[in-house]
Amino acid sequence: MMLADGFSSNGSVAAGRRRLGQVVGGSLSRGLDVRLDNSRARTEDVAVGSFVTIQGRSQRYFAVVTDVELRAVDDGVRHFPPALEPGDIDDGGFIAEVIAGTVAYGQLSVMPGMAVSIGGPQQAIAEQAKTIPEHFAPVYPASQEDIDAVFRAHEGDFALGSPQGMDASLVRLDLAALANRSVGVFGASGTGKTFLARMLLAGLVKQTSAVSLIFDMESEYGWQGQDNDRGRQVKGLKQLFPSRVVTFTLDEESSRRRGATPDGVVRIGYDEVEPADIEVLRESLNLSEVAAATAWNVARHFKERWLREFMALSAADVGELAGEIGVNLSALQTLHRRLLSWERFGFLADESQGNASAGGIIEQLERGNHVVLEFGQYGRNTAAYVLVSNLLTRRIHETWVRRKELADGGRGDEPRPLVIFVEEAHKFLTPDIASQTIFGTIARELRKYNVTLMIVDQRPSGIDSEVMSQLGTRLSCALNDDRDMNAVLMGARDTGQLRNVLARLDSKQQALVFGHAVPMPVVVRPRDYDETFYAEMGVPSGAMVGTALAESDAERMQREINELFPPE
Amino acid sequence: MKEVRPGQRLAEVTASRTQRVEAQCYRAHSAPPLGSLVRIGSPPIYAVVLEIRHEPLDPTRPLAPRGADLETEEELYAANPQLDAVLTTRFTAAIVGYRDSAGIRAGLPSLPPDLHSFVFLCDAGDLSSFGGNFEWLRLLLEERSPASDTAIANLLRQAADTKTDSRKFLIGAGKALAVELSSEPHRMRALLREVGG
Repeated sequence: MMLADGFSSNGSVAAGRRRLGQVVGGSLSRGLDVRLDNSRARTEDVAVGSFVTIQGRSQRYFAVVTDVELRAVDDGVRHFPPALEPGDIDDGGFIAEVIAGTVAYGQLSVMPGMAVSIGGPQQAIAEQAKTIPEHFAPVYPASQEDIDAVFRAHEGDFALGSPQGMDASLVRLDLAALANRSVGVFGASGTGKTFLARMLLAGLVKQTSAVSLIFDMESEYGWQGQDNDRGRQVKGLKQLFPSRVVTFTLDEESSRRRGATPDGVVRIGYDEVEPADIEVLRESLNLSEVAAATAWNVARHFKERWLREFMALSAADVGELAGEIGVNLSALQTLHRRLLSWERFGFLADESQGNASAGGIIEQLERGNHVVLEFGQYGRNTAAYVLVSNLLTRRIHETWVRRKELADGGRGDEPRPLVIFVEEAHKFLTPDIASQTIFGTIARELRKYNVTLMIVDQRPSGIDSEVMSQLGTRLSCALNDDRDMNAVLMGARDTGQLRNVLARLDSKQQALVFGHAVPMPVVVRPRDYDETFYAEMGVPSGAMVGTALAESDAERMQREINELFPPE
Repeated sequence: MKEVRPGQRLAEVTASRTQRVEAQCYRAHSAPPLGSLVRIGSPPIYAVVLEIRHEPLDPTRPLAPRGADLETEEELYAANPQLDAVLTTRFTAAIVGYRDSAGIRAGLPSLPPDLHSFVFLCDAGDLSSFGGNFEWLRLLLEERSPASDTAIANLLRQAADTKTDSRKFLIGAGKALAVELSSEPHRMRALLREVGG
């Protein structure tokens, strides 16, 4: 009655592999139903998110388990389970054992992702599955070769971690594809998204021609980060790639306290702040729509130095001004009060510096260096983070647009692909302001100007849905909130099935990855961010940290210039 | 009731149809028990005992009680030696398999056994090789009577006794039964209780 183990007609199923079950129904859109062979595989053996292969006649399919279900041929089994019937107690579990796997059985829902032709050339390439196997095709746990066939290494591929339950195999990301479109890294706090993001950034530095600009809110990416679970420090990008990463800071004091030597200090002129920036900060500053809008009237009144002059007004002057420019008094007072708190922002410089704030950063980016901007103490102030990243990004984006247009006109080189990295993205990309901020613009215009976003967030539901659906690749660690899970999957294929996988991620060290950079959705246990990883990134194991080991001549010169003529 | 031994010849076919065999035992009260596997003729046809009848040889001469003044049943038979000649035991067996050049097969032979074919009680060897697959279950399950279900259970337990791992055999048989009876859960339960009990 049972089919023999392994359809061996093509010899492509490794001998001795235990068959999990057989395909008994389903569809390409809904996923396939696989009845478990209870004599060989139990529901407890198959985790949601793990990989299986389905041996068709001419194709081998790779699929992800999206659900496990207990089923019975007849409802009687549900109403009268064997052990509850009088007289059955002494049968030594005979009836239960007989019924298990026959009229009561386990069923998997699997989603076919990739397929590879069998019997063809040895190096057959796995492609998106456009067909499904026939009835009763045998299903096996995926082997390491299967994983390798799907996540075949290309130039520039990056080993992110192991698929669920297969520690010996590696899932590779196509970093070029990753940098090509915007990327989202999500996860509740403490799920490891910072590590995941840092690893992706390291991969970008190491293996692509793209440059990145990292708005480092908690100062975790530049010099060193914290591994709270193990209570140790881990190397930041600057330590891994001293010659390719440049750190700037808004808070020199803090950087020095942490033992880091920033390559530059960023100062932003009051005159660089535009009323549009205030609109973006509406939520962070807790301003009403009316109050935020008065910034435009104030700017029209004071022209260039509007912010400085407005902040210098006394309370009485504000009252006068309200009458003069015809705005609601209390709205103007609120705006004034909130902006006064900016007096504490040490990075706001009095005198106009033109484009100087962004200039140093742009110069580094154009030279192919990655830039980490550490916020130091200002990272704890959302308004400061939003203000600075929004403002700098706007400037940099303007430059990139100009370069790109020149290049299109045959005058100059294409600007380098630029990845802008922001945390707490829901502060910039809420539905009501996403249309106004530069980040919303970048997300929507895709890579027209060679600029993409990498957003890291713990509350994806707060991000504009249009922006979410533009993300090319999404990596999500565990999320607790239903709305967040739905938001992460927004606009993706096979949403219903992935939802189930996403909901069951471990609370640490597991991420669902799907989109452009991977051939099919996969649950990954990210690799350890440790000495092995450092070594792979090119840092000798056990190397002294704290000195710029691989400082090039050009860098040394730059450093000395900076020391002699401080950037500010 | 008299003991019958495995391998013993005990009856002859008195009527046969494609699925059924009627046989009459050589001696009254010497029938193979319900669910016994019997071998009929040569090349052998296999059948399972489904019904046993002890009755007068001549149906036109019904029995009357004879022991009103006697103490025991043995005295009754001793006082009436003619009974051995006028009483008989007949049984019905369902055909479940046959032997051809390829070996023992489950299923129905193309012809039923000839009349007067000898009927043997199967021995452990036959039971063991016949128990190798459960295709014959389907034929017996079609009988749908309490007697046929008990016959199935008895036969499975006898076959299990010939196996080194009898529980494993019974679990396998139970699974085959469960699949066949998936649309009749109550009957399945009852039968499984008989098999496993």
